[in-house]
Amino acid sequence: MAQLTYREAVAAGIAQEMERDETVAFIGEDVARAGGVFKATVGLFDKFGPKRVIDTPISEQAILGAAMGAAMTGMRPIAEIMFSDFLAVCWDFVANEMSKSRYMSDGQLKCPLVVRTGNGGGSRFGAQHSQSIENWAMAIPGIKVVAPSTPADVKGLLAASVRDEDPVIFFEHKSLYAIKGEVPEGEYVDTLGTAKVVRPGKDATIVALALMVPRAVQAADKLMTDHGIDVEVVDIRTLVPLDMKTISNSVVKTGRLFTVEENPRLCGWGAEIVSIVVDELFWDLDGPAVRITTPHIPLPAADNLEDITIPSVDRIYSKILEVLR
Amino acid sequence: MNIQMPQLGETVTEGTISKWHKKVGESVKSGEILFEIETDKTSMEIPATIDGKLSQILVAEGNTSSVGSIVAIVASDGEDANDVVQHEAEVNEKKEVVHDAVHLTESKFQKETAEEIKNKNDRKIDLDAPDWFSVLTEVFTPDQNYSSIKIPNSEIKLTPLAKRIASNASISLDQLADYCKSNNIKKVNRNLVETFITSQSEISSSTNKQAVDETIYNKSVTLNRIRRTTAQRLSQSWSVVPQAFQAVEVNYSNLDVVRSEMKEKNLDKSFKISYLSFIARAIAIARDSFPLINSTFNEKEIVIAESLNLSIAVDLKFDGLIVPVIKGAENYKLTDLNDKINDLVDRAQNNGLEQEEHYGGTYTISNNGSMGTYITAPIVNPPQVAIMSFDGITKKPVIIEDENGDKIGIRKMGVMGQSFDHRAFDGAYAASFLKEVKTIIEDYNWQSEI
Repeated sequence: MAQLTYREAVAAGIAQEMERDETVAFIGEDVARAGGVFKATVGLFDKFGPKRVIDTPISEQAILGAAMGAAMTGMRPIAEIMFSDFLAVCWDFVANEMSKSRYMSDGQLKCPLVVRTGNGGGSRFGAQHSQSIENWAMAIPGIKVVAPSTPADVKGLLAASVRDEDPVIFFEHKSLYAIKGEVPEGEYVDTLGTAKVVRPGKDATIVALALMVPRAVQAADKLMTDHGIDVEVVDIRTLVPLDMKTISNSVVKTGRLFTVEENPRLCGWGAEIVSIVVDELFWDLDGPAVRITTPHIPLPAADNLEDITIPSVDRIYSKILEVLR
Repeated sequence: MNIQMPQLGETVTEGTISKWHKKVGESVKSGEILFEIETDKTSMEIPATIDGKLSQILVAEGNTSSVGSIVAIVASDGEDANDVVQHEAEVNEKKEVVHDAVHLTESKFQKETAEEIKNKNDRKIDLDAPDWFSVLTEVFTPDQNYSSIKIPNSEIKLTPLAKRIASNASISLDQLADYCKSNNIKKVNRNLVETFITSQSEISSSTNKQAVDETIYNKSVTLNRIRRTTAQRLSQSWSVVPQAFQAVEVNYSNLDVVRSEMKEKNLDKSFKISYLSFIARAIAIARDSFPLINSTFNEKEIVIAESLNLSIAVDLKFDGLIVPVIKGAENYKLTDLNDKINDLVDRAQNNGLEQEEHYGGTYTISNNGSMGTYITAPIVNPPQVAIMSFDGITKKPVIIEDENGDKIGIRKMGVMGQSFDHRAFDGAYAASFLKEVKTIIEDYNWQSEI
């Protein structure tokens, strides 16, 4: 095990795959010589050179278009879209092209492409650079959606994404880049479509994703200390494929479901999970499922406003207390 | 393999064979042009899709046939043409069998779900099955029970989990509803239904643990609803509430003076004023100094009721015991309280109570005086924490002390006792309350209330 930051784990995951497979290439804005605006790809250019680590002009369509073409013709490229908000600029490639090519060509084409992108708020970047758009991606059939919460998951799931035969949108959380954690050394590959129980409990289930996972765990610890309420926290890790087995087993155990979502409320991923749980596990529920989300508003840039908008430890704690008391 | 007329364009229903590129008996290779067709929209060359021999042409050049009909038969290598036809027939037969099987399964399924009502609340999915759900695989929605989550004929709601647990444990929802009403519960969750089931199984285990010789006990009496509820509540009280009993002897002589005055004052010949009314009033007055007797105990805290809701035990001529409630009894002076009690008891014995008069009591009085009993130790009626009983009131010789010394006099005496939940308060508190009630009965200025 090595202590790595979340951003170091990104570079470690990419390097592991580029060393293993020479068809893996990396392309994006300022990703090569500058090491990425979030410094998540430092060292890759020096190690693998300009043919495999490529800076592009400011054109998201060019990045995804080039990466998609390379993927369809035999490579396994990793493309970076600096802020996930900018995926809107090249959404046609995501929604209509890379996600449909295998299906529409009857398997003659495949698109083993990873789109890495900085997602989420908390960094005072304002309404166009702070959104959590994992629910946009989840809505499109044909792509996989990954959003890790720990450095180890970044490395393992990034490797799994590169090795997957289909396009993957890989959401890195901007406010998690600085966190540190144990990361297995040497070759490390995780499995897509597997959620993880990160804190076992018996009284209620929280499902959370990315930045919301550490916040949910903190809130759960506080609920245990203050009130003896024992909350289980499930880190979903990948929205597509969705590991409903792990989530359902937890809900069956506790009888109560809370989702903690950073995406805005309407059509957030929690709505889908609640819908599935109500459909499949209605008779296991011991009370209404409750969603704790960012409200359906453009994110404010001001510190105080952003802090009360995105679910905080206090908000998770008091909402669960209010519901379970 | 049968060669069919292909669909060329969505609105096309038939096609004409314009040319056969192969003759009967000739071998064909997959991809080779087999025939050409014309429709009203287009013309097209159709390739063979397998290697084999063209064994039959069913639609000759220039002829028209509908989309999907068989135009020729190609026997694949090593296959006889006749086998092909037969093979196709078998396939068709199998399709029908499969269709029947599906049909059968559907009707069987419907029948089963109608029969197995209990299972309707069960989860239909197997949580241990690998990948039983994934967004990328087919979404699977089991047949479910969409029935209401209220207890029938009540406003009491069950959480879905509570309802499933109740249904799986085969407990009576009517009894659950009674339990909820008497404990003022509006919503039932897992904890509550499990508590209820535990209390039920305690009753049944306590009543069933003795083996019974059926030649001796040979005539059974079915439990009515009152008997069942009484059994359940008293078992719960007996097994859960640690109760203690204390009694005092009360001198009722002064009350007789007041009762006579009241009867004289009242023009109505049928006017009744009972000892019960005095005792109820005395409890209401004494309660002000002893609020804990009018409370409820749970594992976390004692919760005091602001209002004194008196449950009056009424016997239904050996046909069960009910405890109708006078809400806010502290608000009535003696005369009004007497009217209330007379009315309530009268209606209770004649099946004339309103639904809400059965519930919400905070303290119970039980009166056995008319049977001439000497002393009665009653059982606490949860969630209440205390119950008062009073017994036969008779003339007795008693020692009277005054300035001339002791002498023997005749007084109306009776025993009054109280059972209480020892978790909520202790003997000294309970005894002080009893003494206060006794003192009020004996010395209170009752004239002020008539």
